[in-house]
Amino acid sequence: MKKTLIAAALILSPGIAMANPGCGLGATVFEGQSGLGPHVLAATTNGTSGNITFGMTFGSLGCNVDQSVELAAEFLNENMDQIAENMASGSGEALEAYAQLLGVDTQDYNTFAATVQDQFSSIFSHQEVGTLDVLNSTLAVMKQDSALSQYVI
Amino acid sequence: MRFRFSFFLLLALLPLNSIAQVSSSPFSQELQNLAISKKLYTHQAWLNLLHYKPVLLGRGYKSEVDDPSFFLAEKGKTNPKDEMLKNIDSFFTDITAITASNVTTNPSPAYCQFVARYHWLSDQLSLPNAFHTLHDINKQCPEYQAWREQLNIESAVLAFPASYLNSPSSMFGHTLFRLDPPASESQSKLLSYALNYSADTSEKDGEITYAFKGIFGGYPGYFSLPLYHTKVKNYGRIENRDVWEYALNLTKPEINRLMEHVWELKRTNFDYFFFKENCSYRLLSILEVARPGIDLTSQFQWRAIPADTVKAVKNAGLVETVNYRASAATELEYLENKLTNDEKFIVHRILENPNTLDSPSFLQLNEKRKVLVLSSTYKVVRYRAQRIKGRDPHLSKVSFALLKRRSRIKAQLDIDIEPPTRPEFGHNSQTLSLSTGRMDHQNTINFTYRPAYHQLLDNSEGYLKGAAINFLESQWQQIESKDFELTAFSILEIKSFSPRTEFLKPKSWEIRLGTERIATSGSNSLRWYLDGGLGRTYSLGHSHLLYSLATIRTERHREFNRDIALALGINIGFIRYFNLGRFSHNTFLLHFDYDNFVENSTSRTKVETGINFPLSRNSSIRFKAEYNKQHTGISHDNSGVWHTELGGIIHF
Repeated sequence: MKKTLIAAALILSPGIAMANPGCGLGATVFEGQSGLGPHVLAATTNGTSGNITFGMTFGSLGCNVDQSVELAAEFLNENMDQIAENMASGSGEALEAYAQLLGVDTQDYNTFAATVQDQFSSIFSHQEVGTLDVLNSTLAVMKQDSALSQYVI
Repeated sequence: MRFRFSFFLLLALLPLNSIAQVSSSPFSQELQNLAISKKLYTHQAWLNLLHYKPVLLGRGYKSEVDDPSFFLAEKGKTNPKDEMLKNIDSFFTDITAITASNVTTNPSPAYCQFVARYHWLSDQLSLPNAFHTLHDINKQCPEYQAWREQLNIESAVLAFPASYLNSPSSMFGHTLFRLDPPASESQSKLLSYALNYSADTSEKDGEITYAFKGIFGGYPGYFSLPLYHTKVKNYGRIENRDVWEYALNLTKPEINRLMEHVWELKRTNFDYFFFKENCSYRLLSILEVARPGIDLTSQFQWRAIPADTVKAVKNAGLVETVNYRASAATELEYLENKLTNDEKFIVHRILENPNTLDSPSFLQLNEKRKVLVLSSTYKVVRYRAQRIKGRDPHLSKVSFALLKRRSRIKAQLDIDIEPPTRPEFGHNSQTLSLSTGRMDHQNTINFTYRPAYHQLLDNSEGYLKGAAINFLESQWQQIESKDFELTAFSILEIKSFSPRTEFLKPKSWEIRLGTERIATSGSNSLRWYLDGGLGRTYSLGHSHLLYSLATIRTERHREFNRDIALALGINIGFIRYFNLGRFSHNTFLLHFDYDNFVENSTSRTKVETGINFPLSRNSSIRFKAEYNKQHTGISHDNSGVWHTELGGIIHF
């Protein structure tokens, strides 16, 4: 599971991502609901609109990065509010999953959780950070930490 | 043994490629004959694999799959035998090409597409090992193999998002599987795959069309494998539904069969029918393939309510453990109950102005209480943000301030929510009631049948309080002086009285469509109506609800001059859930309904009260009293009628 993420961090730097319009990581933290509101009668079909995935979803974002980075980015993109909250409190299910996607081993998870809590203000530097900003600054923060830097070399 | 002998004989005697192009090789013919003599096509496992069900009237079978590519035989959808013979032919002809050249030239042989069928037939036809080495799925079907490796599933969990606040139609719920990798990987459950069957509603249809098509099979249904976290987000944080997770005790071979079959269903379309061939029904049909010998679907002849399907899975002995995942709204409610009034006040002030975080009232709190206030406020903000599209700058500003402050505090919040009664412990979904009563100095006998689902007075255990959903309820009555007659038939009735709390402000609403007799009106014939209401519900203490709604009613009856008469009115009611001695989960209801018709100066008043004592999960004693009065400006027919009744109710 241990991955080298530095290359990913470079590719995913915001400037490059903007030049890569197919890369579908558009979430900003504290957004409202994206897409349609829940149907009043939604229960009649439990409908999904298109996008029928059958596993093997990688590459669907078109970000052209390592698979595990893409999974982490996708997870972050979907769960920004939750991860932000988990980081601020230094614990939570979403944070655990995020750490796993970044390749952090179980024994280093507590360090990871404590570090991102301490560094919350640098990871979420303002109230409109996007998915890629958060991913990049998470990696940057990990790189600064003696125990976590091994995951970002 | 006779068969094995002929198999080797065949290999020895036949020139290798002489029959490769023939539609039915002698080899596969031999196998077909064996299948016929063993009557394999009548085998339940075969019927399950192809989703065949006996046709309703008459003999024969029809598959529920509505996708021609799922069948190899032309008449495969209706003919299990033809389909089996064609399958045998497609799967096992290649054996004659012993050099496997045939296999490599065909990029997607049928057995790679229909792995579960292939394995089942191989087992039943006792194909020799030599054959399996040639037809090694692992080597011959790289796409399938890559998919299996990527998914790496060891266990399955049946996930049931329960009904949600403010949408009783969700009482019908939804079920999906969560597919987990080996426990040794200790991977977060959020990163597991979900197996989800749903209608593809990508066409932009209006609300009514949407419901109509959903109910009558207008949308194609597909399986998909999204990641579980997307489902947790959708159900837990957008729709605010608690999710029940039932870990299934499927063995390794059973999981293997399940995955093989899921692969077969890739991009396969079943028409989606809300009542029966819905998500829950489909999952049952998959479990039938995974574990041979269990029968789950046949008990759902015309409707499959998710909670009932969960019961069926449990009764079949498939459930090992149950986990409860509280929704964001449930968590917020839990936190709200922990806040003192002063702290609630601080929450409101932070919501208005995040600078409150620097005020003495907040700063004086100890670390634990600060965390409680911060977390509660954040949940309120996120709850509100989910109700708007796009971005609200103020909510973002508050969220950001809250989290920045939170990150400076190490203390942790303990959230330990006691799970409510599990939905499968709720009463069964069909209801029969019989009562005797007194109306207008005459005795009455009253009979009600309701195929689904739950009324306000019913035993509330395992159900959402203040919510009712009824389909196709018919009420019959015998009065001394009259024949047994239909007094009301309700096509649909939904009531959603979810209480407003300190921070959650859901709207209450109701909608009813049906036909009924109104005894006090000038004419007692059936009249069609459609009415709806919108209002608020307050919680008075723990299990008391007080609701009030403004209503609008349309009615069709000849007593009115217009084709459709319109009435405006109000509904006010009180519900109390209580325990009394040995009776628990009792319900008391008092309901007042006033309608004023826009013309004809007709008005109606109805007062209804009832009390329900459950004797068991599926039976109750109920007392009801109803007062109806219609005031018509012209005829002064304004004597009210009381109807009191006492009876029993069973759910089955």
